[in-house]
Amino acid sequence: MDFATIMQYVGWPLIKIVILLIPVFTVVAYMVWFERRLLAFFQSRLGPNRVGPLGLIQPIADGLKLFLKEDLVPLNSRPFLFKIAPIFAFFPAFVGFAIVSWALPWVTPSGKVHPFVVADVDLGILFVLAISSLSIFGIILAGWSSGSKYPLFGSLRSASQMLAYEVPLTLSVVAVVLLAGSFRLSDIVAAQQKMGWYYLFPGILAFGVYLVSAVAETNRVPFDLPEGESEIIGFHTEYSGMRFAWYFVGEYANVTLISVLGTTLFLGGYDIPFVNDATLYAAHPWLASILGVGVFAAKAALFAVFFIWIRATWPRYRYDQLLKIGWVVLLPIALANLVVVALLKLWLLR
Amino acid sequence: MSDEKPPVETPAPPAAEAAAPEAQAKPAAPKPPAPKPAAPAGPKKWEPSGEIAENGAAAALKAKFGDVVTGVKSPCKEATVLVPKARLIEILAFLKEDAACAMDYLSDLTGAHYPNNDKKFEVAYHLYSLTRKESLRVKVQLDDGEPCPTATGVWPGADWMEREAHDLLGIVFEGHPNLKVILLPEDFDGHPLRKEFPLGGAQEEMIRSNKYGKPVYLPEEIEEARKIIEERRHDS
Amino acid sequence: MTAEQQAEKVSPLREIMETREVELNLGPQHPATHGVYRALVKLDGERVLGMESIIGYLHRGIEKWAEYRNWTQATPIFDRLDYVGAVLNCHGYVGAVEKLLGVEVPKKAQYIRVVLDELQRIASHLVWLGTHGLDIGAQSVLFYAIREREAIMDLFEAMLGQRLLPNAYPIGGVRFDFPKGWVEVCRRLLDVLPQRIDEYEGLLTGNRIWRQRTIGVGVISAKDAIALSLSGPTLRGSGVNFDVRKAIPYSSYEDFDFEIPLGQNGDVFDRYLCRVREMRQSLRIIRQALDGMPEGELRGKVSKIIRPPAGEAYFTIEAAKGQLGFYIVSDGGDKPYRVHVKSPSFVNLQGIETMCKGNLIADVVAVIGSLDIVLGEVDR
Repeated sequence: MDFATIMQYVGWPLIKIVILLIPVFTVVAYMVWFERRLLAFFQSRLGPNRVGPLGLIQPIADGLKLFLKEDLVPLNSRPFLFKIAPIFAFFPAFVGFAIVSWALPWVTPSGKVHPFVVADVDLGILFVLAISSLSIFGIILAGWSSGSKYPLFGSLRSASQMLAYEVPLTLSVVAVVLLAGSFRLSDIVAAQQKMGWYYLFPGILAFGVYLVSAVAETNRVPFDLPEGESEIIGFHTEYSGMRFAWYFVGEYANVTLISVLGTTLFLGGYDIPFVNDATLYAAHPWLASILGVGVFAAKAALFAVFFIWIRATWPRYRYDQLLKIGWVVLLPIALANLVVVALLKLWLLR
Repeated sequence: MSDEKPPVETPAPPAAEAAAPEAQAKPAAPKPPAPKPAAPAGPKKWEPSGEIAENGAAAALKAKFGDVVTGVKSPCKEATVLVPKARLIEILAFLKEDAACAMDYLSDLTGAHYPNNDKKFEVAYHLYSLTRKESLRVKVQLDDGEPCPTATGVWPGADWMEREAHDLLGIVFEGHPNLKVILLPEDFDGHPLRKEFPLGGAQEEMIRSNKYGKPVYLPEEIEEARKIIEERRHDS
Repeated sequence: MTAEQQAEKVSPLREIMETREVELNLGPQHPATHGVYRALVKLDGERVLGMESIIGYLHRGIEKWAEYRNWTQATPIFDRLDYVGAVLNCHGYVGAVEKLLGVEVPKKAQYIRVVLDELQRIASHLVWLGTHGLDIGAQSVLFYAIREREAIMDLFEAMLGQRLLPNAYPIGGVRFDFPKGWVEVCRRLLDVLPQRIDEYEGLLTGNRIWRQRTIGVGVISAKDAIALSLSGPTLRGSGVNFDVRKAIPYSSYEDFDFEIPLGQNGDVFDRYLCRVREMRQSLRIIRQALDGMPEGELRGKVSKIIRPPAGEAYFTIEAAKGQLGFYIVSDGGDKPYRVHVKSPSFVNLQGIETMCKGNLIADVVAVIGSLDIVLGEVDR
């Protein structure tokens, strides 16, 4: 094997992963800060503003504190499972970022195309759905291995909740896939650009289902039952220190991923509204790509704000109500929507 | 406070002292507790002053159970009746059911310890009629250790109140479905609202009497603990 | 394969698949128990089959303690009962002693007491509203409610020198008249509060999730509620019209025009509505009391050393949690012979077993919140 092959299959992907992971970790860390600050403003207080300007160093301080905390393992837990469970919680969320297409590909003057994606998989969206379902194992293992009743309740709730909302989520994504005719995220964005408007409009029902299921999948208010601090404390009751933090890193990574995916699927991803990409390309070869990342981030931030807004406003559903909404309300809507979208595709958007 | 005296051989000095205001003409000068002023001749019984107040419910009760129900004096004109233990439940049920009384609401149930009285305990039921807007206090007197019939059959709400009285005063409520500790720890020894029980418990008595201020760990047995306290007091 | 063999093959599986009840300790350290309250809940899945309350973790022997203080010195102890409604506790004890002494409290002092009592009631309800909301997952209400409570605490500080446990009333009246400018600040608060209460209601009352979580949950019938001696909004939520302020008026409550909000179904939502409406009624009362403030003495004739006549008195007030009763016994001495507190939280907590049976574990949390217990008062 020559150097070029190794670079193509190992070197470049690794470099890309590193380049991607650093901003993703930063974004995830600052999601916590952002949520706390925004939530505080909703609640007529200030939030963390002591560490650094505007409290911007708070995530680092929190991380340091959590790193230095004692790592407690309960006596009647199953230590091995207990210790590895957090990995399952945060690892899949990060893997999902691999297939996200962040911006228009950068076309070098020599005509070489550099896509802004770590792995442009054909079945990209399926890959994300498959991988993100793995994170449930982190929660179930945590509940089971803690040897305590509260985490067990949390993980049982989580298992049924994930099951109930995975289906509508997938169906809403399928509607988009139907419209775009591809599983690849860059193709979905391209199809939206080509069509002229985003799938938010033909897929409005799918978008609604996606939003609700996304909130449920990421265990956030009003579907935060696996955590349910005031009821069953949550599946991570017995965790401490960094292992506890991994769950939150995983949760915020999930929120970020879900926002990013929602942006790609329904809001046109990195497409800059009202601007023709060709003019940008003409102005500067990088401009479209760099602006694209910015626009993408801004659109994804809308999702994040929406999640936080909900958290500040609504109470929590009860377990049975939550399952009822998943199976009785969302699933039929998603199925009906699928039929509507299929007909739409067949007659109107051909 | 001067009245946090250790319980010496005679039980219930705080009660005797509190029951005798004339022995305390000078109000509570804080002095070392050792030389106690001579106790008044014979402990004084607790007896309410004032006059017997009447109201509709009390009248109806007296009309029905005239021979056994007696009025109790009250300084602030609260209708109070004293009933015999044997017919307590019958009377309470009558008060609840009878249209002229209709005491459907048990406002409070509690007891008190009168170590100098003939009957050492009293249980007081504070009843209220939601329809007739009238209150009545029913009292029953008990000896130490004498069980009181439970009112949970009449008002289920008496459940916790009786448990509390049992816990703090040691009154046994016969027939109570679940008469176990409620406010105190399960292994607590004694009934704190009895007059002979020291304010801080045995442990505090020990610490107070230790002139060096060092903690001394007392044996579990309260009698042995008292012995040690006494010895230390004589040493000092 | 014979039937026996088959049964053998099945039975180990049955043993594995057997379902059994789970006993869950809710508390004593649990965010939704509002203190150190422990409920031993028997669960089938998440459904509550039975439950037992275990209390006493905060028992401080207040009743015993009071017997070793003289009548005046015992007053501040009772602030520690319901530490979010301290002024009301103080009123209860002081009122009982006044009743036994036969002291007449001057009209002006009575009105000042009404103003402070109702402010305290609102403050207590605000704490309840915030924590109840938080239990069901509505975070923001807590912060809004605490913001308004802060204003009331400031008023207490200006008037009584203390915020939480102000030892508000001496026996026989009140210590001070309103300080300069206090009434204006108070009136400004009265103008603001209705809008703020609208704000809370906007977040909760019409909220579908809130309604789904509370309507039909933790139901207790009027008959059961009376039989269990519940009181306060917990009783009125079931539609029983019993408010001590109207039924057994004290401290000139008969002078004021106010309504008693009643529920119908006796569920968590009705208890919630009762309390929220009660806050509005309290505002009405305060306004009337400030408008009709009479002139006169601040304290009745009370000797320095208080020696009530031998006898007993039972005085009840409508505290924020319900009927707060003080049964005091005097032997003619300068110390209480026996003080018993009928604490509404303690008695109301009895109802929890009836309310929770058959509901889900998340409802237990909602019910605890709707009972508005303060463990300092439950355990005394």
